[in-house]
Amino acid sequence: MAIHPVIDQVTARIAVRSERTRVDYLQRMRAAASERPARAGMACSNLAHGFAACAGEDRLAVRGLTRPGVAIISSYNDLLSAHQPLHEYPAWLKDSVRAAGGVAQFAGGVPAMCDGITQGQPGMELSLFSREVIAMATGIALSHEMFDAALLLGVCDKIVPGLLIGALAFGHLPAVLVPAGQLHTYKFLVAAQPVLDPINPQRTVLDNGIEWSRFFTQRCAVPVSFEIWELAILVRLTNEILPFESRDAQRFMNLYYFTSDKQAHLSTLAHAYRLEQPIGAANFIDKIVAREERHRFIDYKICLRIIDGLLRRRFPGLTPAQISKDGYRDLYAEMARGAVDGWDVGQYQNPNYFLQILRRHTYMGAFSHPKYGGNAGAAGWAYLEEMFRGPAGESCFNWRRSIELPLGTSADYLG
Amino acid sequence: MQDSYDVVIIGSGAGGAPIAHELAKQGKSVLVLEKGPLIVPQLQATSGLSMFKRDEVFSTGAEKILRQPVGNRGASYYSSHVEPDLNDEPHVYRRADGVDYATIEGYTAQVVGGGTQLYGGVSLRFTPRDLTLHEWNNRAGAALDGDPNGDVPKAARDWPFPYAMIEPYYAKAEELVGINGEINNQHKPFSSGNKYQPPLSINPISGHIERGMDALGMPRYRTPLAVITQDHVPSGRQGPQPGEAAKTAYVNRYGDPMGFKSNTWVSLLSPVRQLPNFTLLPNCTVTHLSCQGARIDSVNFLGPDGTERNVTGKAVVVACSAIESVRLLKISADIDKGEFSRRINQDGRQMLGAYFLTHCFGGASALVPVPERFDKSETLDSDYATDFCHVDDFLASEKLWAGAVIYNNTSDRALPLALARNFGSRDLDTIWQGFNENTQLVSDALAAFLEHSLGRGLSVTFMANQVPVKTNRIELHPSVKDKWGRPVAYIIKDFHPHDVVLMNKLSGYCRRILEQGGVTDEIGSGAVFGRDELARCANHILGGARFGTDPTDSVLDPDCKAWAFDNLYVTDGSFMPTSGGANPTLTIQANAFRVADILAARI
Repeated sequence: MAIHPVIDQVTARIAVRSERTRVDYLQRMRAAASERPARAGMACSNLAHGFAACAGEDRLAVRGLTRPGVAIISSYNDLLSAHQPLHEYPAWLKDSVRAAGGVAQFAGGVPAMCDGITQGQPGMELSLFSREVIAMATGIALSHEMFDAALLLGVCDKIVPGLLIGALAFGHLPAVLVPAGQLHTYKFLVAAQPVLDPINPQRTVLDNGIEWSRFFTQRCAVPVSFEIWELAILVRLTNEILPFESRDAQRFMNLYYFTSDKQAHLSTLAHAYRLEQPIGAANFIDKIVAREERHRFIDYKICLRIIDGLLRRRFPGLTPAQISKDGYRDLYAEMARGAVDGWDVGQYQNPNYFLQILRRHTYMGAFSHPKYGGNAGAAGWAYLEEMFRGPAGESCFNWRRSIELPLGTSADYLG
Repeated sequence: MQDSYDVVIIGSGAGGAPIAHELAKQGKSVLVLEKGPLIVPQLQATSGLSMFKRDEVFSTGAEKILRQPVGNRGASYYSSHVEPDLNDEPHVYRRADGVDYATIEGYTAQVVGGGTQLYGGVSLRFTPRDLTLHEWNNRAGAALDGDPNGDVPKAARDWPFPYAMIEPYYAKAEELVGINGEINNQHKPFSSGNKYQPPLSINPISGHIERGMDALGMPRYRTPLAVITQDHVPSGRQGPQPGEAAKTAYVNRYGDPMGFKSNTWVSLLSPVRQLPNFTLLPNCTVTHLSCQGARIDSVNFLGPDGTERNVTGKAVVVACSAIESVRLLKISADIDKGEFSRRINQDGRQMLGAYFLTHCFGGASALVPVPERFDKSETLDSDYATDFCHVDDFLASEKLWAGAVIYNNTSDRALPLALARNFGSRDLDTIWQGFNENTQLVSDALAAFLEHSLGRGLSVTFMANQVPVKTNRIELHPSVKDKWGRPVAYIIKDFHPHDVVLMNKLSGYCRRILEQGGVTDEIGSGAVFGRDELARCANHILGGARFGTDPTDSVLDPDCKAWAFDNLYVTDGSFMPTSGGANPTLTIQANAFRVADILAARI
């Protein structure tokens, strides 16, 4: 790939001007690196404190000194809307790391300020300073020296740099920023009056009842359209539709997420989120009805409520998320026939019509680019790559060669 | 802003860009007005990212709902991000049952580069016979199937010049645009030499086509494609490294973020963009032309902010694709019912808009045996073509009025979304419909569907001349308006009985290629009529302002100048009196280079 000569010049100048401090930094990092898990060099009393809070298998693993330790550092709090998925991340990450042969510990929380709330308030003056505190807090978490790698959870313009600065102080450790996407609300100031964006149709009503304009970023995993109970039903329905239920498919999915080689795994995990959903198809639907296909949002709102009601009547005492696979299979078959026992046709005339929308969206979610919120970690593409083979055993869908790094392998196409 | 130019060109695609390129290089002051935005490849983007993507949601995007007051109001449609939005500016098609439908054409794009941004890049020359169909069909002993009233010999037209006249311009277009292919076995003289870049290796699935064409004695050649395979000096583009890296299924119906596909922006306009005498104004919508006597003295357009502006040119070139060009001229005549209307309508002979043409188009499709499936995403749009059905002896023995190219497609159904949204669909208009309605494709059955289809689809297409019929025409719709309140284009069109005979015969040949190549699973063949579908009337849009030597039988003179105007030229596909037995883009480009020479001598 050709690089603009000015970029080369600037890079070279930075290298020259920073040489003294950089060499110093690199020497420190080299000295800090070791061949074995870092905690293996610890005194017994230090190490005992290190695993006192662990439970079960992890406790044995930390004591065992052979499995690599991974630090989780999170900036989660209840105030930042963009951070909501991070709430559940640590537990998932621990499961994933365990399955991959390591052991993860929640090493520290760092502060995070929501500019949206402090905007125009005295608290806003602390916004930039918070970066330094985040860096310091990250450093404190990693200074336990128990770890061989770090997973950093956070988004936004003070938090990510703060996490990065803190992690660089432990630059001998690989660190991965785990993305969650971003959701923002905003207004324009016109003649000193805040007004809604007249072009962008996305709006949201905040808890105080005031309407704001809204946008979300690529790969956003924050629910923007659906309630948790609606998503739970969607997850089960998309599960029913997708071809990932067979034993072979399940084996592949486990392989892809949990036991691929380290390099592939880093690029996979960096794009994997909402792992409780197969392929993230429900997350894709949550996003497409917020933006490109807003006209379909109402279909989902009406039909998910109908489905919730009829499933609760069919399976008293169970939430729709707890209902067996057969319950959803039967429901799918009835919707396909266009006649669902207990369906309120007064609210929505034809369940088959909704099923058609849902199927198209589900398929798109599984096999479109991961930036749209589905096809998590490109697992849908990798499934096709793995399952279908030509005459010489070569894959019939070598998607990586056309797709940008780090997802694909094209060095030239930048996405 | 400068308000007078040597030449003002409306449209930046295949008909406009060659003229802009040539005249700008010769120092003439050139203004190009383009309705759509400028989308550049990565290397030219300040962010390093192109707004064209290798992304299936870009080529055929999210669902939209048609809100126009037409028969298919409420229907779903799925368009690319640079195709005109049917709710903003539809084309309305009158079906055989008399009901009006809004249409999608498939390769019309509102973007700098026009349709060449989306096309598959098939860049074939017409044959000498394609340009002399009147002579051929009025020869002694001529006989046709499916023409009981003898319409066809009367309807056939010769072009106002022979193939030898346009041959050097074909060569020029091939050289400047950047096309890979081979001339061996093409049934057209290449007297100016071979200007092709070398083709890439074939996709193994095309081995079936080799066997099929060879068994039928069809001389084959690598399909010429407008994708560069190595560095392209005329446009200053760096080629793919290695050349094989250009192979990706994101070609046909995708803008190319890498700039390897030779659209008219990267090949012709970008190389002159720094010249002080060249101006490109994207996001500008031309509303109408005004005249003073025989001279177009004002090109009126809306700027990006919607303000009305106007410019003048010593010459004005209209090249906004056949339907939109005719519409622009008709709207101009509507606004000035005196002078402009009299001159463009040639005293009421109703030639403007008449003889609208598309192609007789169809083919065959099947699945290769499972053990022979290949990765179809590593490909360009087509590997092999044959001119077997272009030869005079073939036409005489099959009693056909005109010939056709046959080529195979390799990139269709190569990617997962395409696999589902084209399932059971007849054409672009029925996208997703087959998949949506077959709700049995679920879970394990969906896995079986993928197992059944991935890497197996192989299709062969013919592209043939359509018989010109005066009642096939472009009008202004009496009631449907675009978002600016202007009447939209109204397309009234059907096929001649001989077209049906021709399509059946040629699709039979396509089918035999597959059969002889050992590809018979789920084989299907036939014509794509574009007349019963929900919402599509054409693949290639041509004619409606045809050129000729007789002012009573044509809209344009042989120079593509409107007969009764002094400085009005039309150079998109609407000039064609017959549609040619091949995809039209290269011929539109070659003709535009020819007109550029005429204008250079005049201005």
